[in-house]
Amino acid sequence: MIFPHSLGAWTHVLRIWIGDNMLADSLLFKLFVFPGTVFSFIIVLFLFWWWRKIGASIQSRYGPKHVGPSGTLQTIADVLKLITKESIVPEMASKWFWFMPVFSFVLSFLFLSLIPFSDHWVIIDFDASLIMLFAVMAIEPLFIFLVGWASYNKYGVAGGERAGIQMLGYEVFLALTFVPVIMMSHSWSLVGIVYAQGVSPTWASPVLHTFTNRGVWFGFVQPLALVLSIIAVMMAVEKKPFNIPHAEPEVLYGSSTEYGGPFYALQMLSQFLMGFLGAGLITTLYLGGWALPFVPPAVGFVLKTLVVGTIIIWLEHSLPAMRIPHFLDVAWRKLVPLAFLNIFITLIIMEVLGWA
Amino acid sequence: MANFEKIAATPETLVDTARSLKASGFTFLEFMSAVDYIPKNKVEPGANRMDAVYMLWNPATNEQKMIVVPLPRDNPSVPTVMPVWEGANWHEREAHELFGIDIKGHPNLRHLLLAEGWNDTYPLRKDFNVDDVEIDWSAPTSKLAEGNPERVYHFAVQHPGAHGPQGFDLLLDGNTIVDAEARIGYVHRTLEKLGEQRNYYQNILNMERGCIMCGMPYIDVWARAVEELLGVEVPEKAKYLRLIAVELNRLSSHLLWMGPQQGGDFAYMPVAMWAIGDREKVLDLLEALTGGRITFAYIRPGGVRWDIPEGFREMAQKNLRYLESRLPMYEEMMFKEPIVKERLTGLGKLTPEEAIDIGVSGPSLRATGVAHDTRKDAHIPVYEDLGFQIVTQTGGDGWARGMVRLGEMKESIRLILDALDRLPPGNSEADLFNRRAMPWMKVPTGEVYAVTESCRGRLGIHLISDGTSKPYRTKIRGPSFSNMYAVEHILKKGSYLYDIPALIGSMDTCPADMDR
Repeated sequence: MIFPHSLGAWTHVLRIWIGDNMLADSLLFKLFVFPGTVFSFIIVLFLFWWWRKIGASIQSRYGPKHVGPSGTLQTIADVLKLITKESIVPEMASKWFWFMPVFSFVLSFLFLSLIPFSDHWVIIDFDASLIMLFAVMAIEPLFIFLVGWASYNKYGVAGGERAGIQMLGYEVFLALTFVPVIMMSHSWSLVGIVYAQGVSPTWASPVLHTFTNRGVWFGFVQPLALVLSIIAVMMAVEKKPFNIPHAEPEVLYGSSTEYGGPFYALQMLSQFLMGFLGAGLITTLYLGGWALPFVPPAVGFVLKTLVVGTIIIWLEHSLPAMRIPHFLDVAWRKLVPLAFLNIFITLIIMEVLGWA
Repeated sequence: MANFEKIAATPETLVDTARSLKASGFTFLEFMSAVDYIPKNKVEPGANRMDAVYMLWNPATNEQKMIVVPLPRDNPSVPTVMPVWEGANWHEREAHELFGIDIKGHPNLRHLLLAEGWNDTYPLRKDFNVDDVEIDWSAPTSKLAEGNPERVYHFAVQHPGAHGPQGFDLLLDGNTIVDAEARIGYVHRTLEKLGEQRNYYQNILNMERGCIMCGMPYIDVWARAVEELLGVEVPEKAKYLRLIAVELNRLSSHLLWMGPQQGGDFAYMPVAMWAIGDREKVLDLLEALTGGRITFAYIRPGGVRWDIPEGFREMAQKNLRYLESRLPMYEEMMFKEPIVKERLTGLGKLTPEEAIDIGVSGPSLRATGVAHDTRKDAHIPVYEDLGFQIVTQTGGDGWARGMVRLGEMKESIRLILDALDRLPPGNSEADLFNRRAMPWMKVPTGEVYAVTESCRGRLGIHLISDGTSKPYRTKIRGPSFSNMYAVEHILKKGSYLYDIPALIGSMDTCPADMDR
């Protein structure tokens, strides 16, 4: 980092602003405070409240309003209640019963470690982090299935099988929607993809760098891919209308049916974290990552992600749930061809503009 | 004396009689039940027998006929009429467990309404003593569960998709249903037995608990059955007020169906919550008119409890006009929304013949294209004066059933507004007897069958009076009973696990109504 150190106290502010400081260099701080454990707990607690409030306003209700200002502390109260509840393990359940939610929680943290909050505030970034991310997303349904299997419940197993069906529906489509981004950025690294959108590696925020010469947020040149990716991410994080594994009227609560109390809290936590990170992935790939004028990069990333997340929550609350055949039909017969079409369009555009 | 024709038969001639009656147009089996005559009864003193009764309806001519099969009390036995009407299945099971009639040739005579391990005591027999009852709680839950309990999916009371205390035991192959067996009876309150132990006045409260979402038609039909026995003519104004009350209840029930029930099946929360919110307007009207929101006791033999309150007309016009303006939006949101349309199209398809054969009635029958609405067929007062139109669809699937209910909501709103405009002057209650003496009112001996269209279909009450202040026999034909049998029938034909909630929802079965 090239900075005139004579700026005195302001230097520290600026250094923290862009993340060039000891904290950002400390892996422990990143793991446990930001963007790791503490931050993810806070964001999940906030998101849960936000999710309820948006849902309530769509359904002409009030939502939580009594605990804390506008019910903001309701989630904390709920988590405390869930933690103090007895954890009931079914008699016939596997001895791995309570490991499974922990594993899927760990998995969502693995996801978190790959998402760049800024070029400094990222836990792991390497040449192929997008592939790693696909791998994490592909393992997730396996754990959902094991969660159901371990609980020795018919609806748990049914929910687990449906998680597999869901994965069959979205996995290929999800990969295809990200291909145009890889083509345009020439990079498999998430930080590299953000750089390719014209975000300067060092000075992250100012307006000037939001749209630079060749760099432009991929969302603007790839609107179709943006829409398709949001759909793919909604499928991956099981948001309605694609909530096949946890469709309550059909299979109770799917694989999580037998889990109550702290286990349930853990599952909700990892679900909401996955939701947040899914939106974060969209931000990284299409919306210029952390680039936002006048705010620190990491804050810019979180704000953008919340906007994307709000759109997903909005869609989730206003749509009915799909049937399995309809879901597979839409995914394979309508969305996959669209994703291929988009790759083709991208090729042509890149050829015309000479980006290849 | 009765308001229908009785045809005597013996167990040997029963099936042939049934066949010939079906061939002559009596295609609809309303119910199969029994009447128990012990020697000290007052209807036919000295008679010691049990009559198996089969109530038939000719949809073309609106005639009612009843096959009566006298049986010995100690070992009553009849052959099954399932080869003639498939819908007799559950009615015969019910007669078997409640009256102890042995049904020869029936495929599954397990308990339907009573607990599985209930011993050989028969609650609806006149000499039933509750102290004799013993229940073996370890009995298997269904015929399917007898063979392979490990493989059976219990899609029943514990399941949010089952819409209350009703459900199925399922055998699955992946998501495909191999076999299904309905499990109902969780809210069986023996309303028919209670009806025999209460007087005619108390029975108003008893009857409207028949269906908690749609109690008004129950007391309407009860009042008309009693009036027929008493020979009372209801004032014109009371007829209009009854229509208003019943149609308001139908509106509230259909809104509840569209929102939390069918919308909830798809986790479609906006429709679910908005419909609940709009139902509040209807409940406000019901409260203003009757004083109650769920149970009303508004209609009683001779008329209605009180006249239309001050300001009700304006309130009704305001609330119903608002509701009318919301219905196109619901149509757009619910029935034209692609995901919902995909889920409902082809769901639980019934052909008209199948539906009539099973005894399906109400919106589910009209969705198959059969234009039968008891309000018109049975000439329920003032419906025809107000130009009532039967709403039909032709699909026979879930979507068609939904569109029928939506059309009925529009029709109900129009009927109520027209009835309010044309409300005649006069008394709201016949001046027939001393009100305070009504609990001890004696009703002349006789037998009557009164029908109406409840929110779920053809609702009938078969009432036998022995001249005392309590009825001798009250048989309720709950429409959901046959409609739920249709759900089982559809599931057995082959369906999928993920379609069950929407299927139960689209048939709009009410557990209270089917269990009674």
